[in-house]
Amino acid sequence: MHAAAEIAYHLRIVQGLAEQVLDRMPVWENTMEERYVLLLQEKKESIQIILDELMENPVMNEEIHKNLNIVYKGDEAGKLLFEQWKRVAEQNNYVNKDELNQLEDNFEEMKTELTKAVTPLYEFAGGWEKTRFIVPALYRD
Amino acid sequence: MDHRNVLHEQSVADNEAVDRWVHSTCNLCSVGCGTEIAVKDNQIIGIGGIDDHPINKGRLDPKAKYQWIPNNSKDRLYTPLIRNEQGDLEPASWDEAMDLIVRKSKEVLKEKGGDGVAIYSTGQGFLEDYYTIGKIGRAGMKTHLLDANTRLCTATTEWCLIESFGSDGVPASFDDMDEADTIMLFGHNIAETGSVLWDRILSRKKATGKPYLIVVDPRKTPTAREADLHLDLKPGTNLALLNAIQNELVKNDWVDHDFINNHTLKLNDLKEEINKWTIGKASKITGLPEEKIALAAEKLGKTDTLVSTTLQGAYQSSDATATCLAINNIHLMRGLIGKPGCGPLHMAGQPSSSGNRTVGGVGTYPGNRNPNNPKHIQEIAEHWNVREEDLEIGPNKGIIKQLEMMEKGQIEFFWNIHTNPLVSLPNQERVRKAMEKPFVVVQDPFLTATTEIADVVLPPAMWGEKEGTMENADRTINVLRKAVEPPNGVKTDFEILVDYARRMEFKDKDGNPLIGYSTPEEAFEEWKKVSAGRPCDMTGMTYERLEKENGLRWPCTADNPEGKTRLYEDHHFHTAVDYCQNYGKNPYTGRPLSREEYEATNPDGRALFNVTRFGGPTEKPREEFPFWLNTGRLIWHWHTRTKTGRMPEMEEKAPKAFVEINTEDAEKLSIKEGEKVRIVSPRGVVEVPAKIGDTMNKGEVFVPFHYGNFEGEENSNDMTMDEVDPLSHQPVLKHSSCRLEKI
Repeated sequence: MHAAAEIAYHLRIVQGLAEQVLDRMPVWENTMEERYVLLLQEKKESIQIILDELMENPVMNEEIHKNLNIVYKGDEAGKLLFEQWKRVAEQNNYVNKDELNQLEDNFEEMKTELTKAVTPLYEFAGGWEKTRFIVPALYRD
Repeated sequence: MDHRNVLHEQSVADNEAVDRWVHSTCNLCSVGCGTEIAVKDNQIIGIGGIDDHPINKGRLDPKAKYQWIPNNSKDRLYTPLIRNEQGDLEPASWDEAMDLIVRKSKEVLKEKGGDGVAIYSTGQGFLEDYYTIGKIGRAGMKTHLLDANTRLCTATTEWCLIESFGSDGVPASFDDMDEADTIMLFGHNIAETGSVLWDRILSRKKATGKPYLIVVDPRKTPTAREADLHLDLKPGTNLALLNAIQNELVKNDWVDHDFINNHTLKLNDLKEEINKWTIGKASKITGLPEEKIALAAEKLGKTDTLVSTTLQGAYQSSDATATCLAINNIHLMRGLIGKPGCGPLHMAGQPSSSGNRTVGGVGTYPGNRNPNNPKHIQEIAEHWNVREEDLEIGPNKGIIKQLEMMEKGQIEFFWNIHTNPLVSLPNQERVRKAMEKPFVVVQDPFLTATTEIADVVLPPAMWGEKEGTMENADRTINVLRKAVEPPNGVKTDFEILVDYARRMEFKDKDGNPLIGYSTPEEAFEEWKKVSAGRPCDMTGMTYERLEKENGLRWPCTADNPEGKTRLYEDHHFHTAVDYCQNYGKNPYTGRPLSREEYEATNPDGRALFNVTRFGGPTEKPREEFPFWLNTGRLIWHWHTRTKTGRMPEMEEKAPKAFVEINTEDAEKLSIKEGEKVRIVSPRGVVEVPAKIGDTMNKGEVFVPFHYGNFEGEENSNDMTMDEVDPLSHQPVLKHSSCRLEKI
């Protein structure tokens, strides 16, 4: 598969997963949930911008660069918020375990897909050096 | 003008004759008092304040007077320990311990790369140790997993300064406290956490009636009892109060239009957020009477000079960074920064936590460099003569994230230096389970709760037995001379780190040893070159000058050899895109911004107003857990009492944990003074005696966090919550829910 197509493939999955989580919201309305929901919405929108750009002209440009940054950094920030929201929810028995596990699976899968997109991203962007400022260290394995 | 006279304080064992006094600095709180160490027969036997040191003028904090006692403690470790197959720690030689550490780190690095190893250090070490940790960590181990207990202490300071002014570094200094008409102590119980600095404020107030003191704290602390205006707001509502105050300043036009127009950006974004924050709304959320909020706004809106400090009441509460940003916003609105008696003075908790941030031992890049700017990475690569691509860039991971990584088996080698996470981190049950998984090295002079899960324990030298520098809370660098040689069997942190780098065969790109220096002073000289041209430039400092001048503030250069009392006197901020320390984060979600997003704002030397959206606490009191649990420090103890627990004078003052309860709550629950009470939170239970009075408001209780290191002690962090601030990743230790049960 062409690098751009492969990136698009993984990003579409991430977008779908983000939508799945957003569809379940609100689960336990509080400040932490609100924050990661905002990040999911932002990520979804940025992915759409990247997908549209890739459709039009599949080369790295400023818009794609900016939005890839938002997607990767937002995923890492959102996961941190989600994990602590989940811990507090568990400690307080606010949300049932199945619901929490399902949400956690979705967050894990988003990270997995973004990690899978890294190799085609190297190719697309012109090498590891060009992408390491976009992709956080823990997504580069 | 400093209104204090010299007050020489000292404590010497049995008033013995002293052979010599050696120049040093107090190794406890972040004030950085000049001290001399008393030596007799090559043993440390006491301490005295330095009379002409501008920070303390001879004074010592109560704890400081006895900080030499733990050095001579009988239960000090004098040999490394290795856990044997039976699960016991047994004595080992340095070679055996270091060989094991090297073998294990090589195994993990081979299998997992840099993401499998982490160093968690301290805010009580020396700048030279931190710099070496940063260099070994980034360029040797190729990891970005460098953190420290400064995450519990000053991480929020760093982020609020970066977001507003483009770089770390507190704008004001302690000298500004002598000039300010108004001082706002926000979540800062200075009477117990910085007693010498508090004395400086009180001496002036006694002599002149100034400053007007505003204290924001839910507790009636010793600091609050001296306030002209005490705002005892509900836990978790700091930002609600500040949003209303910001709105009042704008609404009443108590703002400096020239300053705003010429030196700042983005006030309009902020106005959109704060214009809904009426005093009435803030009053409902904070529980403060409207007139108190209005008075605070008026005082802050009309004062000609203002210093605002923050500490853990701000940093360890929800909306931590946003709270500090709101304080920065107030100073920017009023143009009260970069001139005498003015500026935010976000404090540190520990004696050198600021230094760890400055030189890059805590996951920051050395010299306030930007890990997202390739040019800055290139600079570091050139300084260290390593390949740019070998430098991991981060962003750094806080300890709470690192615990997640331990739980998942991702971190397999964890090096813990001079800190005691098995008492100090929140939600202890989880911490213990997580930290039992990796190979753990603990570097500590004593057995602690954390050594219980260590695979190797290394005994380091203590204060007075090593040389180096520390950075206090107002950018002052002080030198600490070695008073005596470390005891047999003990090595300095610096020696341990350099030895580790040698054994690991870390090399630069020409095949030379990565760590080319062999003494702390040589390390400092190398660091100075790395700092050149950066906000924290220290090229004008030498060990000799630091001793002679009783400390110097950075930046200190050939052009400015006396150092800077305050930053931004020209009102030019460190926000230019290729100079700034970071492109910042979204102030609500914490998502790091890209260069493109930062460039779109084009700050180019202007300070930035930040939108301060109120979030509030995640966990709140309710029927099952109707109380707020607050935790904090006592004047008599330091952190987890590894040192102060070995000072009989301090132990006598506060030997056990307790819970402060409001009189009406105690009556309602039929709890009597001194009676043991069970406190239950969603995470854990402790049983401690009650202390009843008016310090706490109704519905709130307080437990000091110092306890849990010694057998039979109750640890407040069994109950606290492992949630962090989205920007600074500092844990929210100041408020969680709980209930009280009469036993």
